[in-house]
Amino acid sequence: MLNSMISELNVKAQCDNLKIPLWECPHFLFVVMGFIIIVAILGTNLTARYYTDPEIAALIVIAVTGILLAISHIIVGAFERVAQASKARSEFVSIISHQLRNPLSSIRWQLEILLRDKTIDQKTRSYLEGVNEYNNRMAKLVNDLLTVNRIENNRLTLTPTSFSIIDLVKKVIADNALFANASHIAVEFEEKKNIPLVYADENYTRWAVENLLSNAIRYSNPRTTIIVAISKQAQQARIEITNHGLSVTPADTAHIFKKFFRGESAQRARTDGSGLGLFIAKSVVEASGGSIGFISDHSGKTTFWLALPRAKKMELSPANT
Amino acid sequence: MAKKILFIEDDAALQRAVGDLLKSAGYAVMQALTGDDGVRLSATETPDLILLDLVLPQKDGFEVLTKMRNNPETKNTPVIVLTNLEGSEEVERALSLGAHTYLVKLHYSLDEVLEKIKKTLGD
Repeated sequence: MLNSMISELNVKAQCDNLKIPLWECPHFLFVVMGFIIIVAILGTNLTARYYTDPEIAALIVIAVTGILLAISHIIVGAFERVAQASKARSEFVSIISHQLRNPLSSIRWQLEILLRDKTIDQKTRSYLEGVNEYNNRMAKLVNDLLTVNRIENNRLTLTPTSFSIIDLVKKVIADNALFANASHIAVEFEEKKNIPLVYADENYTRWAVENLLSNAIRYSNPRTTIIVAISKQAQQARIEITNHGLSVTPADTAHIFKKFFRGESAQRARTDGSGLGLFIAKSVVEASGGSIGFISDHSGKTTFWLALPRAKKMELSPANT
Repeated sequence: MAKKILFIEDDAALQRAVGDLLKSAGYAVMQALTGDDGVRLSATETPDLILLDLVLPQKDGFEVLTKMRNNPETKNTPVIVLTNLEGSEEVERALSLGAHTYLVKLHYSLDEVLEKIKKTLGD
């Protein structure tokens, strides 16, 4: 707490962090402006003792106002440059991501055609599957960057519909079965009765659940079981994914949903995360009117949960009927 | 007789992959690498379905779609947009111009694309 307050007051460190010159840095210019205001007040006070002439007082006020206006102009310019840099970066990410999508989708579909061929030998197939895996990973990263860009520019478009959360979770578990098997992890689904349909963006919800489950597999101890459970709450349906493996440390708790953040233990265990998954999951779940969180204890048991609003009509998931 | 599908796409490698897939599924495939060729072939060959990329040389996908909708021969031909653009403006514009379905390439496997094509053609 104290450290964070001290770092807030360290103007030079904050400007260094923004990688801009001191005289273009809003934090520094703000301090300079405060200093000038104090000096101007003291100066006016002091001058007023010796010169009672109203013209001189007026001149002093005009001079001080002029200096403050000049500094305000520099500060506004600095903010504009920061905003323009942010806009340019956002456009750059958007253009590059779209340009990367074309070759990635082309590679993906050509590999699919090759892998359909039953006559290719096992070794070649294994190499092609490896290329496919890396290509899919890169595609996911590019998609995640685009989604983060949209979230930051308030351009994330959600299309909420009523859908069965049970069907969605079952599909995500099935899609991750190979990954779980390869990691020697079992995934069990606890199906409850009377689960209502939820009202949210189905694609992004699938993305969020997929992310929580693949994280659970990635950070589980081998030969353990992940429990996926869905329960009904007053206004929501709640999905819980519980695993046994790496705990979330108290130091990481406050940062885990932040962009690009990866916990220290997570970084040691796996080098391949981007730190975007939980940030996107939180953004899309909250934009759908839901909530997301986790509980982690010292034994390594961690539950990530997300709750989504129920569909307005009293409909039940097909699995209940 | 096999149903005809026109694929308008400027990526030749992707043309080949999707063309092979469609042929193996029993469709007759015509290919266009530019917007102009796409408009011309859609008018002369009267395909049963059109797969359309949006970023194309000469005429972009929106212009192609507008031209096709203005031609009585292709006015009602189902069009599936296959693109990597995903902005809400592009999706809304393509659908308002009469695209039947809008698919983002990177989100779909070839099998899923084939499924959408079959569904659209009622196969």
